[in-house]
Amino acid sequence: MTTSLAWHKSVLEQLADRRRSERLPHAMLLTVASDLEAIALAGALPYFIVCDSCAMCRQCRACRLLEQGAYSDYHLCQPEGTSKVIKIDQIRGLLNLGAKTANYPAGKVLILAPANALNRNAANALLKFLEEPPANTYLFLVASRTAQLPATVMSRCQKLTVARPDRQQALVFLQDRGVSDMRAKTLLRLASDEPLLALEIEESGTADALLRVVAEVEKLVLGQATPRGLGQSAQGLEANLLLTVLIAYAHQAAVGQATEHTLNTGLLLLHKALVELYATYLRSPNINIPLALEQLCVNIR
Amino acid sequence: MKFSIEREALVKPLSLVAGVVERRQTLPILANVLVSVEGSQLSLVGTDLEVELTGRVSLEDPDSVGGSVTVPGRKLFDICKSLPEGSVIELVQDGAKLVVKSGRSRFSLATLPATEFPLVDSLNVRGSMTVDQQALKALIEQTAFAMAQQDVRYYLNGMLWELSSGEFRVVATDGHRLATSHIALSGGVVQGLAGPDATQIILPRKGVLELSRLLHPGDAPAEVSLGDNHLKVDTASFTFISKLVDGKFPDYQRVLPKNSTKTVVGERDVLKSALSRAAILSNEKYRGIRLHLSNDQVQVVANNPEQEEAEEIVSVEYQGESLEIGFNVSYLLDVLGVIHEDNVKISLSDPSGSALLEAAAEHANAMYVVMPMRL
Repeated sequence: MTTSLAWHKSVLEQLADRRRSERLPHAMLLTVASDLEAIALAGALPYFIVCDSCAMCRQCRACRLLEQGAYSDYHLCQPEGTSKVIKIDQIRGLLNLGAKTANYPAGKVLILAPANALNRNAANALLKFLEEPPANTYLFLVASRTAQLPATVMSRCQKLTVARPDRQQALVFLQDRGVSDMRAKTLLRLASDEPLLALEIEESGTADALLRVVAEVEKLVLGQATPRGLGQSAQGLEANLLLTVLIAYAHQAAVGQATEHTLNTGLLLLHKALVELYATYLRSPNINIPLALEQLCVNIR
Repeated sequence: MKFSIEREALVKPLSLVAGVVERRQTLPILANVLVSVEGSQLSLVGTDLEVELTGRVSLEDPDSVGGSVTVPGRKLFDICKSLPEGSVIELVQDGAKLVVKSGRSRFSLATLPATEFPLVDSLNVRGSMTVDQQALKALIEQTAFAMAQQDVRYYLNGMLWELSSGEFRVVATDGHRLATSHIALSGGVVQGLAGPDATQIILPRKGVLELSRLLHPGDAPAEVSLGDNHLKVDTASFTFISKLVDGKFPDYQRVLPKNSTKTVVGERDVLKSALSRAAILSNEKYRGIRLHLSNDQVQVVANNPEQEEAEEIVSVEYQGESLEIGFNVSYLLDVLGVIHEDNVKISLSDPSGSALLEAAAEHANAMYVVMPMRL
């Protein structure tokens, strides 16, 4: 059953409210913290737009059809299979639905999540729609890294940033999913207070290994360990999670060390190098991450 | 639900409905057909969320029990089709299964509740008419070839249907050529028109082709309803509902050439075969041919990049100044392919003006506009 995240409630209700008063624009860009959150928000969103009472009542026909995935006026575009990008054919399919009349009076809801996964051609295919939207059609782009979207798309959408959960909401979210209080705090620290990421780390069963890597980096920064040790501890970990966690750590540490007048250049360099490595990884996922990490640490020293 | 029916009586509507069902199966319920019995009427509904098709047949079985349920459409069709001819099939709902029995065969099919079936809501009708199936099918066949295919101007990927109190007109265009045809309607045939203006809808390409397949010349007239979001065609044996294209069709009136100065009348068969011979040596990509028009004859010339040349001379009825004009030969052949009268009339003005083609007969109701090509 589709549920909405506690900290999305206010933004969903705001959108529902605008829907009720017919003040919803043809295209909106919703900015969230991560791709996981984008998917979660995209799942809950249609229930607040097409439901008879705009409130995910689960009673009306629209809600029941959505639950079965049989609501014909709703289409979600997300990367298919193992692909990381949304391709142009998917956008054509989406626009094809947009060009047809709605089956139900509530109008058509088209969602792209995560919209930062749009490849260049797909984004360009969307432009025509954004310029001349059909009547009674609502397009939502839910993106985590909006900087990756072309300016031509960005400028044609109304923007809304979804607030991040506060620490308490994040803890409650994890506890509701059977994570103990202590554990939840540790995970959140690893995941820079990103509850969905924390949950993914917990479910991947690599939380302890990731903690060890972070500890290794901490020691390395203080000059108490060698890059070799870091490389070894990073062996066999899922690259995406590992890099996300390390970037989060470097960011937190750099912020923590900074005083009013000074910045810790070493940590800033580390953060920058990690972000660059992550970008390289997204382009060519076959690189050897432990080796690249060792190299990166050697370079910084 | 329980009823029995002859194999042939069931296979006919089932084959119609299964045609809609089988294409796309993103959802289990879309692979199913809704089987329902109400009184002595059996109806079968299939949908792919874009086109909804209902097949109907009346039951002769006095002991039938009403009810409705959905079962996998393709499987039910395959079972019924492969049973021996002339056999009687009995369908009985048994808990969550539908049991199909015939002679010594017995099949038990999984079902999904009928309430989950995504039926189209009621239509908000803006105009309706009763029309002969043969006439409707002819209108579609005369014009369907000119519809665009996957054009970014999505409103061209379909056919305009325009209903006014005295006339029903269809228009199709892809930006290079346009086909339109109409039938006159006698008073009282059209109902529910909101105002004096004609009601327009755009039926998607897929719906047009699907509908043309369903219409059966000789059967009872069809009731056509144009709604805000849907088109419904109702006949005794089926009900067809399609979504529409959500857009505004270009003003076709402005495309029809009004002040042509030159009128050519020729025999359709002769022109068609001359053009198709010349087409062999036209550029395979652009399909350009040149027409040289002079008194009582037209010379057809085609060239290709290999410097090969075809030349045909056709006798036509024409008097006036000579003219040289280029066309995409496929567009001309498409038009000549759907004109059934013996003679065709081509109206031209100058080398950059479009050509109007129509049958050279008093009662001709179709018109075709073809844009020229600069060669």
